[in-house]
Amino acid sequence: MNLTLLLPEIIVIVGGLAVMLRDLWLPADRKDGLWAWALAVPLIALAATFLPQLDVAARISVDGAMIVNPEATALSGSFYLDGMSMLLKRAFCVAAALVILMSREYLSELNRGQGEFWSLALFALSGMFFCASANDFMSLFVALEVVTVSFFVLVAFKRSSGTSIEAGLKLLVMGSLSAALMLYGIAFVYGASGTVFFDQVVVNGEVTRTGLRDLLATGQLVYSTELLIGVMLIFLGLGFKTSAVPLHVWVPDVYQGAPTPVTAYLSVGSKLAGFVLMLRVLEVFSRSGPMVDSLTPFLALVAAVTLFYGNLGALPQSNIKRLLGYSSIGQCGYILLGIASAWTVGISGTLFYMTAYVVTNLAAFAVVILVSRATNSHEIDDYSGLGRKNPLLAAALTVALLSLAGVPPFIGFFGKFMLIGSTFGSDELRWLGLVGMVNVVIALYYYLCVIKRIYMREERHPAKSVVPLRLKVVLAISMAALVIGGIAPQFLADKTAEIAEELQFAPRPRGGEHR
Amino acid sequence: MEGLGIQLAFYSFAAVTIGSALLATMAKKIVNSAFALMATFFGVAGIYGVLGSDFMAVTQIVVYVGGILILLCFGMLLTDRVPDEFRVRSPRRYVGASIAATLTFVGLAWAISGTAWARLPHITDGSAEALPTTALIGNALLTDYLLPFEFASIVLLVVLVGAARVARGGTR
Amino acid sequence: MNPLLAQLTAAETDGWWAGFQAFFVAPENAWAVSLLLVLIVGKTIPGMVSLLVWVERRGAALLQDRLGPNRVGPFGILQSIADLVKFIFKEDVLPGHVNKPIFLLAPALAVIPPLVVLSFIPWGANVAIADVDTGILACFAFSSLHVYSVSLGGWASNSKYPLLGGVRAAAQMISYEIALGLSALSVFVIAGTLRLHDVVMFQTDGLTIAGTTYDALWARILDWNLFKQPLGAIIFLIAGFAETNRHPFDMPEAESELAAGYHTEFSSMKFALFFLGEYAAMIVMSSLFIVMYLGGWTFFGVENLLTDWVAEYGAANPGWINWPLIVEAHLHVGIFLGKLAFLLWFFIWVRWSLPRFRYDQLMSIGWKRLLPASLLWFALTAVGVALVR
Repeated sequence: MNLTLLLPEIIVIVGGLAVMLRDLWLPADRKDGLWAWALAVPLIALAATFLPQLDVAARISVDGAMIVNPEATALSGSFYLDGMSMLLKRAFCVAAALVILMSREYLSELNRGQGEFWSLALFALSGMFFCASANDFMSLFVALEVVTVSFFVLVAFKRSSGTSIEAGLKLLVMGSLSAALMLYGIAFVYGASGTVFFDQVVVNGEVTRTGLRDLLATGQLVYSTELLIGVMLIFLGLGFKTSAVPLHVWVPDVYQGAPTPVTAYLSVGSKLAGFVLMLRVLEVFSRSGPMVDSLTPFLALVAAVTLFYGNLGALPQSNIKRLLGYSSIGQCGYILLGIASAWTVGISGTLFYMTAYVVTNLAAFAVVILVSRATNSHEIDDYSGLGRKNPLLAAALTVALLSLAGVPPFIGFFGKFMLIGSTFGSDELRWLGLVGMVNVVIALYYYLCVIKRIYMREERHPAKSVVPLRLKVVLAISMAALVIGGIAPQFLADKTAEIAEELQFAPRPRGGEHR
Repeated sequence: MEGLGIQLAFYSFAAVTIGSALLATMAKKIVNSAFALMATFFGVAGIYGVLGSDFMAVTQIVVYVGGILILLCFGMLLTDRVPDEFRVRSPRRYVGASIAATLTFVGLAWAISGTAWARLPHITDGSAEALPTTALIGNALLTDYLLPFEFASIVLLVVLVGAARVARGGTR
Repeated sequence: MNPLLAQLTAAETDGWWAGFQAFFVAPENAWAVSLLLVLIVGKTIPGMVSLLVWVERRGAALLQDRLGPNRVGPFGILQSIADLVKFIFKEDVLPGHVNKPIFLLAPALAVIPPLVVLSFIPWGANVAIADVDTGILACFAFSSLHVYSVSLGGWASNSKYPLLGGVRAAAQMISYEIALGLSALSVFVIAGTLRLHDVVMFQTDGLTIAGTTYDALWARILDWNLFKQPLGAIIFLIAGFAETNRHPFDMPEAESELAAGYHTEFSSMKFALFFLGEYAAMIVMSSLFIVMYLGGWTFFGVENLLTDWVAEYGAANPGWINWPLIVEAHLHVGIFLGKLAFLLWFFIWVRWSLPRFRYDQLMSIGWKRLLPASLLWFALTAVGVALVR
């Protein structure tokens, strides 16, 4: 039992409760100040992730084999701290902090309910933290439910708006369905293996509890139909969070209906929580070669369909939030490319792209919030002439969209480069790389359509956007990250490569030598 | 599973479960569906009981029959006018639903029958006597499953806050 | 296996009397004993209910300084039987506007859950139809079904007052079930078991304070959960009143507002079944209170008077029915029934002493008083248990 490892989680949960109680005792006219309390929580948690006590080797070598370090686990092995969870937790902290900075403007329109908003956002963050560290299927499920349930409420937060309620209901229905599918999958895995834990627990040299990693590695648990079906159902459920086909249908409606800061949070936080769990589950089952061989074609197919669905669906959109919704389905497809390739380079690219996606998407949504506050509209046509009205804002949106499209020299380019490159290592998946490249071109078209309107059309709304300091900070941070990450990707790429190494995915692509 | 009595109990509970589930989906009136659902929950609880999981059986009744279904009925009571013919009865939907259900059934049956359950190391032959499970479950929750158990309290907190938020209404 | 048979294994086979005894003693025939108990409990409860109705009416009269039923039999004690005859011979009206299947099912649902719960109650050390490991949870599981008869009965009647009664019942029962469950939870935290038999035993094993067990009479009295869990017991009792729709919480059938509430449209035996269900629910709630807070079948050592005799007889006559055990069972059940009589009288006493709450008061008591109080008490109990251990 090593509770210090849980310090960031404890900070976030206690912070969420503190904000809730603070809201209770704050007079109504002073509730606007709560955002600073809420902002402090992810920042303190971010600082806590850098504590030396949390810097524990994730794997140790025993008899030549790398196994999970018991020192890096807590709560009887349910909680695991490795490089991936650390990286993702930092990304979640940044995402939450930026979203809190963005939400302040939206919330001042509400007289009541600020405290709930902040504490729900923080509880969602705690759920994401536990997702990043989940080390058994039960923790995985509960952590994911915290994220999902928080978002049900956050999406429907604007009780007076019909679209917000509708979006919340859609998310609720789809979320329940996906949770049921995932639980069913977990039941199958449990039935086939007799355990829901990823790691075994050894006390005094005796195995007191078996774990999937070890069962698979020692060949005690072999590939079987219902094991595969279970894992596929789990991926299906996680696919809901990451907006992968076939559980993607909620995305455009919910993105459009939800309050914009919540959409931004949903598009990064919830999505990354799903991806990190996909990586974790895939990592566990990659101990068995046949499992990976059966899973990856399935994942590749999902990736291809998701790419086409998202990017083709985005083409006719006239609402920027819907467009970003479809684009986020497309981005999910790219990340799935790396996961489907299931070897070190692909996983490294996945982690790189996930991190890059946080700042890129949040920058885009920050601009959307600002423009809609001036024009009271989310129509893309109302972005006409933004380049003349708010040149800096227009530049920020352009950079964010170009990075999403994967244009050098921004950070998104290197992410896509690594992801698509990883599929070319394998003979089996080369077609997927081509699909990815075709989709880059399609995506470029609709992103450029928005940029064209910004710079080459007459303005429709004379109102200029006023940029409050908080959003200036958001834009400055994300722009800096986009550009620096694009010019010098090496820092992040080295880190993700190291993590991918630690995760022990196959060092070579399957079905072909690394070229 | 030994003994005719156990077999008989299992199959009768299974029949109750499936029969009432069919009734719940087919019933014309939503109230009758709710009632049929109650029988389904009892059937499932009975199956848990037959399989020697007494705590699960009782929890099933407490949670589903005593909680969820009552809320459902409560919603029905509060609804202005429950449309009795609430289902769109177009043959096309029947066909679609039947195909989906059949495919799911065949897929699951294939997966379940394709598995050599008896050879899996963790599955015993069931000859062991069914023991009370409450204490075992309690111990497991506070040792091996401590994290999900404790974190579930955050789920409940979020649900409570969310319910209050959504129910309070408006931007008052 | 039923503990009644646990001590007796061998069997003698000469003569019908020995065969008869051997039949009941054999472990594989435990079902016969259970069946016997089922019949006894199943027959006694309706009898108790008819007696209870008479007590209620005489008690009401006593409290209101009038006579009450006094014509049929001595002190009118046969009044309930006369009523029953009347119920049976009345026309069974099935109004045309009701939802028939549910209208017919609702009265049955009023009676079945309390009778099922009674099978989990340990009436004596060896007298329980099913002393299951999940005891209290099972009791709550089935007693919570009572709400179906009230709410769906009201709904199926398809008219205004019954519907209002049904809605009120559903809201009220769900609200108070939480406080009920939470206060019961504290008992299981200190007792460390869900099995009702063990909960009773926990209240008789002497008071343990800081490692020393006191066995004096004062310690035996204080060992009752009523004294270890005073607030919990009060909350349980209040919530129990609300759960059984008894005064001052009888919103679902508040006659001055809703005619007869949810059972306005029911007539003859269907109405009688609702009646039976309500009183059976009262008996269930009182029994649970006795088991959890009032030491069940025990009474400060009186329950152990026959233990030696039972053991001697059992040792001397293996393979025979242990008659002293049955006498002891009667003693236990007698003690239990004495407590039950007091609690039922308490129900009646309260009904005719207190005015009814307003509906908003009812909700505010449930959610704003009882729920926080029971949560607080639960937290205190948990801390207390951690400190004492």
